[in-house]
This record gives sequence, C-alpha cells and structure tokens, in this order.
Amino acid sequence: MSRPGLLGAYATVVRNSLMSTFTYRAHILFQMLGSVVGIVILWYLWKSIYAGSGQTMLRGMGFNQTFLYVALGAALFVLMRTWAEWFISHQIRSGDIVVHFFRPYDHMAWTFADNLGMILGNLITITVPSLVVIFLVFGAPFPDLVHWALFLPALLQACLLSFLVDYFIGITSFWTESIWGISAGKDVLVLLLSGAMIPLPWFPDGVRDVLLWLPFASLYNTPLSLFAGTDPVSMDIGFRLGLQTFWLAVFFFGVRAYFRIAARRLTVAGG
Amino acid sequence: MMTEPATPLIVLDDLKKHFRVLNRSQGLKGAFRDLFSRNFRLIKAVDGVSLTITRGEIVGFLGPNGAGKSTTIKMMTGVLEPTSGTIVINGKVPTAQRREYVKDIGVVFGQRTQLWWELPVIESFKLIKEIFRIPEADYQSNLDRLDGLVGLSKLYTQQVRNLSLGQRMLCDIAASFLHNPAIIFLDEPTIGLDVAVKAQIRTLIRTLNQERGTTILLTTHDIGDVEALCRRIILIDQGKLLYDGPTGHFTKIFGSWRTLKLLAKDGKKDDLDAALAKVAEQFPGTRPEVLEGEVVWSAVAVDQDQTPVAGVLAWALNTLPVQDVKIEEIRTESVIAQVYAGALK
Repeated sequence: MSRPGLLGAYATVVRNSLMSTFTYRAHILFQMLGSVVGIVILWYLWKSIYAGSGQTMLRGMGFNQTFLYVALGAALFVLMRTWAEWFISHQIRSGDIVVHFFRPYDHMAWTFADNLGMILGNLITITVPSLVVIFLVFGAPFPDLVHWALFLPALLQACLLSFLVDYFIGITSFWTESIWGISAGKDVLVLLLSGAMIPLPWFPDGVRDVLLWLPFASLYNTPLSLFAGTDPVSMDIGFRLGLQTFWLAVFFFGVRAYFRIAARRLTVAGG
Repeated sequence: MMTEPATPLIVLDDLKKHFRVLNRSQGLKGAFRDLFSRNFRLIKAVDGVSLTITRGEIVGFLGPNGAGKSTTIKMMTGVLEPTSGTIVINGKVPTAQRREYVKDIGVVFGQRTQLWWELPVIESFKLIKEIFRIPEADYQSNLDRLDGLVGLSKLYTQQVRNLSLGQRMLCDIAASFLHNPAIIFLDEPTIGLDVAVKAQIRTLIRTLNQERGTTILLTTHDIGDVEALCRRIILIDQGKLLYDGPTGHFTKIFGSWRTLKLLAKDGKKDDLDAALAKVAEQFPGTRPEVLEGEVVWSAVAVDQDQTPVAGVLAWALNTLPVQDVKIEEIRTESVIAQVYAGALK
C-alpha cells in the first residue's frame, strides 16, 4: 500500500488526469449532448408508461420518483464510466504496464487516482449539466438535505466499487488478451441488474429481493433509492449502506490478491 | 545507502532466464489441438550470464535481435524474475525490493514513453518530482542543466502527443535523470532518430555521466552510439556472453584484422573485384570485403596473424590494375556484422 509521502504524487495524478479529460473538447461536447438527449427520452418513455397505465402510483413509486431514479441512474452511469478496464487492458497488451514497474508507487492506487480525475471531469462536464436539466427543465422535485446526506456517501462507495470492478476486469486481460466481450458483458449485466436502467422496485418481488443483496445493487440502486426516497423493501438505510461497504471490502481484497497473481505471472513468464 | 567506490555497483552471477513456450501447430485443426497440448519447448533467453559493472561506467549491450539483451535488462530493472542465478544492484535484489530499488534507477525504453500523453511536457516532470520526492532545489538545478545541454525549456509547454520522436526521446531521457538515479538503463535510445538528435542525445548522456558519475547501460544497434559513448562493450548472443571488454579491443576478437582498400585504374572496378574474389586462394586469412554504399573503392580484409598486409599489398600492386591504396583498421560495425551472421558459432 501507499505511504503518506506519495499522496502529493497521487494528487498530481488526479489533477493531470482531470486536465487530460479537458483536452478532448469534441468528446466532452458530444457526451454532454448525448446525456441530455438520453434524459429527454427517459422523460417521455416513463411519462407514457404512467399515462398508459392510468394510475399515479406504479410499484409503489410515483412518476416523479421514478423519473428522478432513472434519469439520475443514466447520469451516474456516464459519471462512473471511465473505461478503466480498457486502459489497463491496453497497458497490459502493449506492454506499457512495465513503465509502472519502474516507479515506486502502487499501480492500483495510481490507476484509482487517474480514474478519480476522469470522474471529476465527467462530474463537471456531464453530470452537473444533466442535473440542471433534470431539476430545472423537467422540474423534478429537489431532494432535501437528508437525502443529499445519504446519497453522497453512497455515491462515493459506488464510485469506488465501480472502479474495483473495472480494475478486476482490466487485469483479466493478463490471461484473456482480449477485453471486448467481458467488458460488454459486464455493462449489460450492470445495466440490467443494478437499477441503472429499470428501477429495482419494478422487478418481480422475488427477483428484486435477491438483486438487492448482490453487488450490482450497490453500484446504482443504493445511491439512487436513497436519493429518490424510494424504499422498495424493509431493508433499512443503514443496512443498505453497510452492505455496500461489505461488497467494497470483498472486492478490494479480492482485486489486490488478483493483481498480485497477475504481477507474479508477468515477472515470471514475461506476460 | 553509500557504497565503497571500489566495490562493483552491479553484479550478475550465472544469471539464467528460461521460458516455456507452447509448440504451435498449423491450421485450424492444429489451433484446436493446441488448446490441450502439453508440447512445450524450453527457450533459454539468458543462459548463464555473469558480469560486474562499477560505478560511473557507460556500458554498451550489443547483440542481434532475440539475443537475450532485453531479457537481461528486464531482469536488471526488476520486471522479470530470473529462473536462476543472482542479481545485486546497489546492494539490492531488484525483484525482491522493487519499491526501494526503483528509486536508484532510471529506465527509458525507446519504444514506450513514460510521459503524460495529453499534457504539456512540464506536467510530467512535475509529476516525477512528486513521485520521487525530489527536493525543489535539486529539481530546479536539474532542469536548468538539461535546458543548458539540449535546450529543453522550449518544449515544456508542448503537449507530448505533438512532439516529434526525437523531441519525445530527449524528454524521456531527461525525465529519467531528474531524480538523480545511480544507474540508468537505456533500451535503444536512438532508434529511428535523425543524425542531429542522435548527437544531442549522446551529448546529454555523456555529459550527465561525467558530471554525476551516473552508471549507464544502453542497448543499441547503432555503432555510432557505442563509439561515441561506451568504453566497454558486452556482446550477447543466444543468451550467452560472447565478449565483455574494452571497445577498442573489440575489433580484435576475430584476430588482428585490417582492411586493405584498393582503387582500380581507369575505373575498372569490376575487373579488380573479379581478381580479388580469388584472394583467399593466394593468402590464408584474407577475404574480399563488400563495403556498404561504396562504389569506388574495392576492399580485402586481412588477418595479420596469418598474412602480413604488406604481402597482399605487394601482390596487388604488382599484378592488379591498382591506382591507389588505403589501409584501415577493421570497423567495429564489420566485426559485429560477422558476429550477427554467426561467425563465432
């Protein structure tokens, strides 16, 4: 693990990474436009679902709650989507990862700092404009301080977990050499099972109760449900946050062990 | 950690690196069979290399592609673990004490950059300052020295992705010196660069070596690098040391060779070449030499241990249409070409 002496270096990595994201101006512009268009589509989609049902409450959620949940889910998906697994995989396949072996720091901490810079970049260029659209254009009800206070730590844990999942998949290319299939598969699973696309309360009760326990829910449903105030089952708030922390710990130690095995293989077999 | 000046900085003892590689079959059927194959062969990339290097040396690693020099460098930099044998550099074992060890070294792989691609060069330097916790005063004086040597400061504000290959290489090498490492490994630092940049890079390496006593190991295929920088050559082929000694003596590993150059009368180079083709029948230890890019002079290589150059010269002047002569030391390049072609096997 890293020592406090390297905090300055990691902070510089965050800063550099943030500066790099700003160099791709066209990319930022199109991501911003894409997110806004996505939110508009979600609004009309769910509006028509509620209109078609002729009811104001579906699965225990009003339209405003559902819209806030899915629109914010889409915004978070772009926020956390840093393509870390693609960068790691590229490093491994091109051999550029050896450059990191010549430096006295921890690869995972370095990559996380790099990732954090990208997340901050996304936050400024995409998430904030998306929130403006959600709250000002579509007039979604603005959550009170309590909800913000619950949402922010849940979001932080979700970002950490998302990074660990990406890092795990990135290292896998030590063995698979290709990452496309695994990464695409992960995206589909996460979108479907985490609540990023369909709110977990909308799943059949039995399925939903299982999904709530899985790490996918920790990525999206936990911060989203805390923010939108949807309480699908009796699982209480503290427990949801604790479960998130639990999965975070499992992935953290798992991924560290996994990286040691991969690094060992690299130094013995030459990758 | 301080080391006595007389003690060697780098010690490799009977270093070996063997890889197990699957024997691949041909075709689709073969590819499928390979999924279950246990048919491995052993590649001895490095096979018993022992050497010592003292502080302040510049050593050139030579050898054909696939000779094992990159594998040796990778083991010395701590990226690869030896199959057997030991490496001790600056009192440390590279793979065992990686975090501490890498503070002592700088590494430049000609094909890879360690600079931040999207950002101005100076941002990468600042980051290196943080990583190695270089004191502000050292950092500034290093930057000033590098600027004085190769005019680096005009590149500071340029994005790395917009640099030319030569500028990028200068910056990469400069970056590797910033934390004042005891040893710098340079893997093909001048590959693909033009003459002017090569000269700058050689100046940079030579000056910093002299001023700071930095030990430098470089691999190259460019004899110009070796002759400009290295007093010592280590030649590796098929994982074994073929030569380890002064650059000046290197040309004598096949004997005391001289090149006798002859200029044909009236431009009849073809006739002269035809006569020279049979020179080995007359004199033992001689052979006609083809000079790269030479259209005027013909040449014969003569091993003085077997035949005096004077004898061959007298024969040529008396019997061949020769207008002018030159006698030269055999070039390092020519010796290396022979080694690569397998003359020592």
